[in-house]
Amino acid sequence: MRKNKLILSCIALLLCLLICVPVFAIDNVDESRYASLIVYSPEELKGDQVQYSIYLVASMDRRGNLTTTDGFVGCKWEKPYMEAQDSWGEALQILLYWLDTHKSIKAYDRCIADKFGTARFPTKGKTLVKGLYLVVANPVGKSGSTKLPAPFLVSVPDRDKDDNWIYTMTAEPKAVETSVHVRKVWQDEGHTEARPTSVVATLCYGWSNKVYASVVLSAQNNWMYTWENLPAGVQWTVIEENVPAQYAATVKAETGGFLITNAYVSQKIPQTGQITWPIPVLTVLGLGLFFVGLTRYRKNNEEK
Amino acid sequence: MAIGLLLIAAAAGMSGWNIYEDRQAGVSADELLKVYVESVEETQERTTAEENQPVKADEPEKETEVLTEETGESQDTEQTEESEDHSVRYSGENLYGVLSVPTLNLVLPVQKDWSYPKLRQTPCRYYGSVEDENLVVCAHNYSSHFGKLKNLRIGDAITFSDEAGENHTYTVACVEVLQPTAVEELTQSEWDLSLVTCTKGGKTRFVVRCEEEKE
Repeated sequence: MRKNKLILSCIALLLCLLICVPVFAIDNVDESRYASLIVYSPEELKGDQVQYSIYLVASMDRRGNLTTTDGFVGCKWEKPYMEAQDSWGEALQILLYWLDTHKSIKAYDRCIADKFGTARFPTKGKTLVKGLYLVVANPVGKSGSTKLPAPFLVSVPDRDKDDNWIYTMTAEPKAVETSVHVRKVWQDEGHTEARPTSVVATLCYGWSNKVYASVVLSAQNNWMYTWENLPAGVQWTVIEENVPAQYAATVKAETGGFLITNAYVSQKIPQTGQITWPIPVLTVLGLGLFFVGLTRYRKNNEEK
Repeated sequence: MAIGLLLIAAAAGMSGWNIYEDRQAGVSADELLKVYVESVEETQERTTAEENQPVKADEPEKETEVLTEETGESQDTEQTEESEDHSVRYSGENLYGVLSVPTLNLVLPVQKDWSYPKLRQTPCRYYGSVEDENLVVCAHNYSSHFGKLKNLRIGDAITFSDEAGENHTYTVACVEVLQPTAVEELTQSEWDLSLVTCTKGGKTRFVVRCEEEKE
């Protein structure tokens, strides 16, 4: 009897363990699975030759935890990425800036999109390590378009809404501009003598305000300029260096670029009063002189 | 005696000119106010007509769409930011908006830029903007413009209707008198709206500081 109870207990325990194991296994990445990424170019750019480069930002272990790879250590992308909920915007900007300023970082893989605008990773002879990738597009040769597919971050694999791991990821980046213009307008009607002959406008990475490029604006270039062939997807800002005295500069974003407005600020708050002080002075003086004259006239008449 | 009469005549002439200038300023302001009201109505009619037209389905604005293999559902990885259109939507003179001060029974158009000729017509935007919450409006101390500003009390309401016809409500928070050279003190303040005019005699500047009421 006791022996039977012991056997039954062991069987029950074994059954429990067998039920639990699959539950734990669901959360883990299946390391035997083959990971891949397919990128579809935007419809308007499918005729252009575009090369996609993927950079391994972080490798993934079987639990799905990410570890930053050597090239991106010190970048500080992790915090905004983890905090971002569904949007990785800030982390992406940080990584794009890092990539642009660390030219030694090599792409994990590159692929030129085919005539249908499709690029598949890994390319022949390579294996896609599971992890977080930064995907960046560049034109192949000279392109007439001022647009490129937007860069993006993608986790390969990633979880779906049911928490299942998906090992073949696909992406359809949108087309974004690679040029930014800046134009300046002056609001100084009646005070144009204070206007300088030129100003310097600086294009900066929006996230960090680090300088990317500068240009001199003057009447010769109609106070406007367009930076071209810029890294795609970067959120730019523009600032005016050394705003001229007597002017206040404001920068506003507009379609395709920025507008810098320099408004004249006078050295004195405008004189907005009517001139009234001479009225009593003139009146008093006038009355005074009138009565003096009247008195003299009467005296003269009396003497006569 | 003749000189005395001449001086009195000059004083009367100057007084008459000031009264005339004051009245002309009031007429100019009224005319420009009509232009503004017509333009806003026109813009609103146009907007209503556009809203009544059949609407096309819009695709969601996303820079990247990441699709899963099995479900085909999309997950956003980045949102597109669209810049706003701040262009002037009406024709007419250089109008920035309309200032309304109910306690003084004042409704005045405000021009976008200032110059002395423009100040003789209406109040003008001297510095800043409604959006940047640092608007400074200056005007002559005509009785039809800012001449009655000194009668404002703390807590009085002021409304500014911008180019798009959107109303911004402010409350008078304080008044102060500045020297003519205090440009930075006037413009680099934390006040959402400042109204400035000359004190009598023109030696100093009377400034009314206002805070915007946020919803």
